[in-house]
Amino acid sequence: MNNASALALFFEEAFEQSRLLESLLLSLDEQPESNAEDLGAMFRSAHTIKGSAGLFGLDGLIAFTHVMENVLDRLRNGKLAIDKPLLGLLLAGNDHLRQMLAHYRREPATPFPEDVEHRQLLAALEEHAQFAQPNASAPPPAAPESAGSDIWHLFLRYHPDIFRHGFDPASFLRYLGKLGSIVHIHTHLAMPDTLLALDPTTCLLGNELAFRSQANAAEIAAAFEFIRDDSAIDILPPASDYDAFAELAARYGGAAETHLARWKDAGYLPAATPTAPPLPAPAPSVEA
Amino acid sequence: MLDAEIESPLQVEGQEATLNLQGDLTVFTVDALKDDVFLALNCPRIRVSLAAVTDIDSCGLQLLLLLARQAQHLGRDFALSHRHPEADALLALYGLDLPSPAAGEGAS
Repeated sequence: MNNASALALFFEEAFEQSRLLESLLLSLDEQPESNAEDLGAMFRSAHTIKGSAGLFGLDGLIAFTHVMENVLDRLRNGKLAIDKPLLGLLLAGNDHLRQMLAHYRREPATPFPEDVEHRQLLAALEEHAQFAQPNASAPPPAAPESAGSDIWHLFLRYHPDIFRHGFDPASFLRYLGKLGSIVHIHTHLAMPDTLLALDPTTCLLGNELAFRSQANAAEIAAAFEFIRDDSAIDILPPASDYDAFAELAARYGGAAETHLARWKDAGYLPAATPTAPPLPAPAPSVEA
Repeated sequence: MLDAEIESPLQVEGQEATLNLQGDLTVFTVDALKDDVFLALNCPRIRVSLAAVTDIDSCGLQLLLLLARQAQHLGRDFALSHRHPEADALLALYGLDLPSPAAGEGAS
């Protein structure tokens, strides 16, 4: 499979997800009760389109589906009630999504023309969306101490198969860039014993990063939705204490002291005593 | 330089291995490239040109990183003779870098 056929497959699946979303929206209309399952499926449809669009860098599509997904997420979580006008808006949004898909299928490299209809739809959807609310589903366990800190620490140990499954860690890192800014990143390359027998499509990469973001834990975790079942994704919220890092180091594999020393050098690690100020984040490390 | 039989991206002249990578350097192509890429490790001096690369993904970058790391391990002189903006962007995303030739060395 080459890039062109991967892209063709993406569009095929995206149109299919959009059709599914439409039929679910229409069936919601008839059965206002007991549609939790359908709401979950609708959210996943939008999320799948957005995630795959991210793999191909279709930014216009990502931005629009991100808002759709956010509204569907709020419906799914009961933070928003479905009514006729909202249903109509979501159906219109889904129609528009298909126009965007058709555009990008014709011209993947040309941004979608954001005309009046596009802007109006986006604005209407955004009224129902809610971004970066820290009080959402997954509260950070150790927030109260230093209220000023918004540095998250992410530890991404990718599954060896992720390249073969069509994922690229770079797309997750770029997606994080939309939720905040990566202030430090360490990339680990696990050298194999011998290069001769290596299957070069095996992922040997891992990332550790300091990430400044106002997003909440659920939003950051959602970046890794497609790989978190296989890959080891650990996210330490801002103001996590030393014990949280020590606990992670203990189950990280290899010598815990080595990990803690590396994190200390990178400025990730809070002092073991709770009163010490947080360390500033240093410049990116180079390891190749 | 040889013009014929250019199927292989690897050319060896004396102490220097030159890898002129062409086309996509991605999960779809690394398997076909890896033998030539790792064969370059037999030479004390390794120069890699990305000038003719059309696309690179993290899997393709990983192949370059493996080459660079093993070259360093073996004490080889490794450098990118011609860089590529997409490869540089990817390296920056990962907080990594790969060496360019020392100043004054002719890019060949």
